[in-house]
Amino acid sequence: MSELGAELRRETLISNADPEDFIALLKPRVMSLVVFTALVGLVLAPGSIHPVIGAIAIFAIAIGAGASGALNMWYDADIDAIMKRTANRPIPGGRVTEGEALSFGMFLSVFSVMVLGLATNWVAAGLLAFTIFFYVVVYTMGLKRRTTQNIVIGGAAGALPPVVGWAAVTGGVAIEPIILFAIIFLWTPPHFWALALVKSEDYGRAGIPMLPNVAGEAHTRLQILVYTLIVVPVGLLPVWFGFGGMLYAAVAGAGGLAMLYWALDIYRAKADDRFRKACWRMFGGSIAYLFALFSALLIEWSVTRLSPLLAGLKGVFA
Amino acid sequence: MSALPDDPKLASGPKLASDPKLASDPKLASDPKLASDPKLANDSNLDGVRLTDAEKARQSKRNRAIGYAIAGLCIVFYLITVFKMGPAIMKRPL
Repeated sequence: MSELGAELRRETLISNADPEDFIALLKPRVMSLVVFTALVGLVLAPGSIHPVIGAIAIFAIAIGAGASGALNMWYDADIDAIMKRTANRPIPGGRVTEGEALSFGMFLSVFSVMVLGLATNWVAAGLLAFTIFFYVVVYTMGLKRRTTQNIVIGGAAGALPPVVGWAAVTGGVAIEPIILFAIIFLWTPPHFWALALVKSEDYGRAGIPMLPNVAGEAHTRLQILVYTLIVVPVGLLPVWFGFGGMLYAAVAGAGGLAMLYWALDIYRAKADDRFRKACWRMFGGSIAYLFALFSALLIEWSVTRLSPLLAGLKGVFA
Repeated sequence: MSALPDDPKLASGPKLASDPKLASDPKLASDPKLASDPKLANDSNLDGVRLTDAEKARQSKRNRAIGYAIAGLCIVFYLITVFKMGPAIMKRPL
């Protein structure tokens, strides 16, 4: 066999991928946040959904989020290869081909939307389809390489899962999921800009116009503070609108103060090591803040639902 | 380089059919005209790619994963059917 022919056939026909590489294409860590926020949207919605259908709805939303992650990695393979943080992803790492990632992402996109539509309703399915479209086409293909506002506008895709979860139960949208959407939407810029500040060289090499690379470090610090000042009061809106109770108020208040402290720390930090530390703290802390807000809503919902059952049990054993 | 065997004009050319480099391409091998060519029929290059042990192991893992995924899909669609229809699943004309 000619060596050229053998190499050609090997390169085009033999896949190097493990199943884990395809799972990595789904961005499992992002998926976990999507699952959690969608679950909160789903349980808070008025009305009822069979638990099995609810679980399938969450599964479909998770797969939809994973599909958009795979399509994002397919389109961004060239810049992922340049950035240290992403250089070992399945496509730049040479384990999955671009074609495989594209087919995988497209199949899962269609599959997730169809399953959600069949299991719940087509409003939720349409919202999921829009979320995938927004993340892949509007953010990845349109905004990411063109504007410093990429993650501000693109953040809408990450903020939609609770709305999809709500729509899966009610077949519509209301003020409550819109507030949850607003919290995640406004949370996204300080979260990602904190990362962009410490990874600005990486983004610069890849030619992605993140705010620190274009507008400078000082302006980014200010923008993080401004967005934090907006997201903290918005985080308290569920209390105002009555679907967040005392626990939520305490968590949102304390978490909001922590967010403000971290944002101020970034704004004021002068020494490089302190500045980097402050950025990492905001990046990790903001995840904990969002997780705490949604956990508080979930705990309050669980207590409300479980207390009549517990009272009933008490009556049985009395 | 990889675009060469995919080109239909080139693939149908008699000169290229006898080219050992191109003869090793599976797309050309599946062409009925080329398959009837005695030169190519005796060509051991058409045996296919031999996988290394590592490649075989990965392929096996992928196959298993696809199997599990299909089984999972069957369960998902079964559950959707049963729980969407509810008790009405038993009410059907005989």
